[in-house]
Amino acid sequence: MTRRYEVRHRTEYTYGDAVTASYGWAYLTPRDLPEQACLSSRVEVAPSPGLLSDGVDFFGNRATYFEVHEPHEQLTVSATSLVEVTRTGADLPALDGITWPDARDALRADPARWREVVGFTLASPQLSLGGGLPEFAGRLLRPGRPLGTTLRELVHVIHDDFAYRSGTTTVTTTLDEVLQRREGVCQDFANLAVASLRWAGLPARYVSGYIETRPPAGQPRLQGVDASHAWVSVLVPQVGWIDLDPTNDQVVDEQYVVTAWGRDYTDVPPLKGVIFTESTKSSMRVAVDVIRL
Amino acid sequence: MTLADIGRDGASGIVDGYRAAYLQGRLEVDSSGRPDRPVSGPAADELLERDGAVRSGWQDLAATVDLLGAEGMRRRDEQARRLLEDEGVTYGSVVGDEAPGRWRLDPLPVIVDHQEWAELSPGLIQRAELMDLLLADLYGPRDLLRRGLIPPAVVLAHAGFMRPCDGIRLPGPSQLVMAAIDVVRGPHGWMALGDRTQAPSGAGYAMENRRIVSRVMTGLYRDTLLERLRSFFHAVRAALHEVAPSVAEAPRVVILTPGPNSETAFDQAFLSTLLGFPLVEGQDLTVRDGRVWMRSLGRPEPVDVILRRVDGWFCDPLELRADSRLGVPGLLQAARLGRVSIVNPPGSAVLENPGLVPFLPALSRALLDAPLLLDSVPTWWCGDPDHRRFVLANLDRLVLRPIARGIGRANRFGWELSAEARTLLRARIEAEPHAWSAQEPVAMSTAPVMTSSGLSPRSLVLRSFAVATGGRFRLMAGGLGRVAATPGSLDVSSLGGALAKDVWVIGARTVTAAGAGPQRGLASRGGDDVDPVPIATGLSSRVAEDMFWLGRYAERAEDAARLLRVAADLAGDHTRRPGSVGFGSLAVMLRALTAVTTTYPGFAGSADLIARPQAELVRLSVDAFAPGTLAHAVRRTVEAAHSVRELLSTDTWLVLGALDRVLLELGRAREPDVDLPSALSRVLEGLLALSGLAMESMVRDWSWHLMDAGRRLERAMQVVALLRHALAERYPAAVDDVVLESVLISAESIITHRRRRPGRPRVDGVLDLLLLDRDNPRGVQHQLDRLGDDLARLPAAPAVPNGAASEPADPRARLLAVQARLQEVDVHELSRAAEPATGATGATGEAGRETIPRTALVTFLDGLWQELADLADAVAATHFARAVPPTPMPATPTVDVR
Repeated sequence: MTRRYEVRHRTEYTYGDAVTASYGWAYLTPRDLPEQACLSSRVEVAPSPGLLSDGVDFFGNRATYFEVHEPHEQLTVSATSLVEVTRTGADLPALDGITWPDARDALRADPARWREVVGFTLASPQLSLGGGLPEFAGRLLRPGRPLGTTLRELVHVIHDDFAYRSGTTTVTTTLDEVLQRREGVCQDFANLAVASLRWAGLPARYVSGYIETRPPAGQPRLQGVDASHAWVSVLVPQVGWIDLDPTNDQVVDEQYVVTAWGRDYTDVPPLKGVIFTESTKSSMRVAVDVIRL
Repeated sequence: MTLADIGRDGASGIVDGYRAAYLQGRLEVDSSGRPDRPVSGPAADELLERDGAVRSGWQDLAATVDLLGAEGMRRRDEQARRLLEDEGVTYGSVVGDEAPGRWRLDPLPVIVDHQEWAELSPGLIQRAELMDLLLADLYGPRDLLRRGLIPPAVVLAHAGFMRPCDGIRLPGPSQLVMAAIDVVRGPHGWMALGDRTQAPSGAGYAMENRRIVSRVMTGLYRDTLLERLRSFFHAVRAALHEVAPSVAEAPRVVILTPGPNSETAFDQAFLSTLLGFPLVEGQDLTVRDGRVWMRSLGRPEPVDVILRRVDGWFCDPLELRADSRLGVPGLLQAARLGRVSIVNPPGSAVLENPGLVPFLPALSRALLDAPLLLDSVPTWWCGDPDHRRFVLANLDRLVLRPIARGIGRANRFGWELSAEARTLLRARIEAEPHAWSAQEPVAMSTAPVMTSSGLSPRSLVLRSFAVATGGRFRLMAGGLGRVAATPGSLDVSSLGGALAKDVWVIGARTVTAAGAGPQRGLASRGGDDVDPVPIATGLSSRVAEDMFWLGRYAERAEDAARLLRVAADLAGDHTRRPGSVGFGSLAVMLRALTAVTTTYPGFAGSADLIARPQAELVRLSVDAFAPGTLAHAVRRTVEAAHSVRELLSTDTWLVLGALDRVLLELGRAREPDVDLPSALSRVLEGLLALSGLAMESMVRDWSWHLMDAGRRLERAMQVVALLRHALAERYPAAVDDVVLESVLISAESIITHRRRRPGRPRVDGVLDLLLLDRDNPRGVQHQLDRLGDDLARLPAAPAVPNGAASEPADPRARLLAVQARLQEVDVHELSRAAEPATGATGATGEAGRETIPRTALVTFLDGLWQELADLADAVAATHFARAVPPTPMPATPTVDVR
């Protein structure tokens, strides 16, 4: 089934004093994929940027660079995209024909293909494969377990054993901290799933994007209450990359829009920037809408 | 008899001693098979053949060494050490509590025969070419990974592989512009030990080594037909111009440095001098609309090419390490857009990777269609299962190296590890095999170094330098030699205390056209092999500020030394006679000293201290970490000089080095009986030499005018402060006489005063001479006149991107206001003390008699001092409007709904 969305993502920074220059990179443009078409997209920056340019990164993501040189106390970055999604969620039970170690070995048996994805089996800036991870991942990824069941259990356990709590983690929270506190937000859960799969030798990547939310029955849809989202993608022989959402304990389907992927959050933050100011105060407000058309 | 004959005949020569030790050592190695470490076979020596004969190219050196004898060689060693110290040649951090590390150089060069160099060179060039092709592929199509010629993990797991640099290309055929290769000579010839591709350091040191050795070993240098180094630096200049973005007509090149705290700050500053490109820090640059600009005095100047000495990950806090204070936000995007060329490209550290070594022979055949000419030290990469098995089975006889350098990632010598450490290492390798490599410990050749007990053999590593220009690599005909700190050690690193060696490549016997090819050393100026290029591009705001402060601190130090000397003299004469006239004036001057140097409470707080002033006077002289002291001002002077060293003459280092030594001496002499006045005189001598150099040896450009402006402002403020605090009150005539005389001596105007105004000094006369007299070079009015000249020569206020938002006041307008105020003043009015009849009762002074405040004078001088301080701020605000440091935008984790 085809769905069309308009995705609006607006970030507003407010500072206590004049900022003389801002430099930024935004990963806000959805990717073009077989199961997802980005029909249009634009990123706007206010005050008017001295330079706004698009680029494609190492992972093939589309990103936007901007410079603002007009002194400002407020900076707004807004992205508006029109996306058509035809994705159907992965059929996990169908993957139970092989064990996960078989899957890994099957991937490795194709050296040319393996060389292209081996980067997604290595440790990355945020994801060391040591510390408390082997114990956590080892309990779930036991030898001889069927692939589909293992994947479902992984997202299920993360969903059930970890509390969702916004504000408890920062962009620099480590995996060990997440494992210790047993709580986090979507990027922590995605990171944990990615690292567990890599620990087992399976190529896994971190995906940044959006999910459509629906208001409780009978209530109107509120504006700006949606948010950017993150989940895990794992490579499966014969099938390809399949996406799973540990935050919501489900497979990723036509409710989701993919923006960018990388090794972990640090490769694809929705927005990062550097400012020149003497101001010590700043605040940030994000408003996201995923509107089904 | 020729020199060589003397060498051969000298039965008791020190070369014979070295030979005997060498042959004995070989014998032991041959008989025991394996010595204390698992090196493969006995090491070769650079000076001697296996049979003890002197090697080709070394005969003259051997003869010279024997002729000079142990004593003569020790003198040359000492001379080299002193020259390095005098020229301020440092290695390691300079600023902070630690004394700067000195560059250590052996006076004996390493000699590479013409034939040997001709055999080594093609292999070095080929390796640089191969590295260039690898770099182009790794940040481009990555075919080598796709085809499996390089296992992807060697690259993808390497900390130097920078994904954000993907697709950044330099214009022109070469991506790796500067390459350095460390080579060693094993039993079977030269082999590569490692590659330096990030931002190779040492070319400047190599040139400095040549300068020193050519002066220390003058005769040998003059008589040797050796290849010169300078053409390499010409090639570097050409190479940097060639890679400029095509739109740049006369490309501007800068050298991006981490700053004066960098370990190799000397190397960078000397390179800047040799190439004629300004040294800039990240904060000196800014990106605007995708172009890089240098914040300069005057107006921002576009930058086309950056020779990078900042590590890749630190170059851009926007895309790379957000905590970096060394980089420039937006720099990577400017490079990506092709508007600036960064040399070497920021991601080039990926090639500093021993994990690549096992694959180089196959890569050479695939990419160059030729076998690898220069062998590498046998190396294994643990990411390969077969290699890993071999390494784990031979941990005790290999050198284990992480594929990427980093903190706590030093090489580990397997045979030195405890069983426990070996187990730990095994576990680390098994957990992350692709991050580890292992090398065979090679029996590196030894070279003789001069020690207190004669010549001693030390393992040698030679760093060779290559630069790509016109589509091919050119080598420095020489290099940076380094030898281990101790005999028998395989650790040859500057951090490990290695000693440097000059490397002489002997020229071909056929002499080519004049100016090209090898030349015998020239006799003039000690045969310096250096031709500095004047720095053409403008002055960065940071350097401008450092010059200004260099002037201010040098003057502050000079004034503090004079005032301290006067106080110390008075203390020597009068301390033991409380109640006397002399003691009264001593007390006045000591309190003035505390006030002028703002080192409260000091003498202002305690009568006891005045009765026993020696300890506090010593402290004010030698405590380098208390602001206001003489030592602090000298330290700041030296630091400021280090920050702008590329602009100063080498004689400056002679002076600063001497100053450093005097301070050190002072610091040691904390005993109560130290002769403070004569020690202060020695410091003063050094400071006078510094100001003499500034006057006589520096070109009158913007940087000089800024330094002079700093000096003038500081001197004016010091004089005003001295007058304000010493003459604030009128004392009985006998005390006043001594105080006025002390003020005149401190202000270096006593002779002038005596010549102009015979008789005892009067306040109005002193004020006239020190405030108003335009001809007195120590007076305030004179400083303002000179300051006016300086400011007139400086450019108007620049428009500074990313600077502070406030509007700077024009310093020239402020200066006119100060001058007008001085012109209106009536020194007779000012010098009058308030009459007791007005109701103000005087306090009782030390001498037990009444003192009367000079209220009008104090009010006037306080106001004048404040105006001078504001003027200094205006100069700073106008010319050094520095950027505030970049900070990251706030970030919150992705928040979402579920």
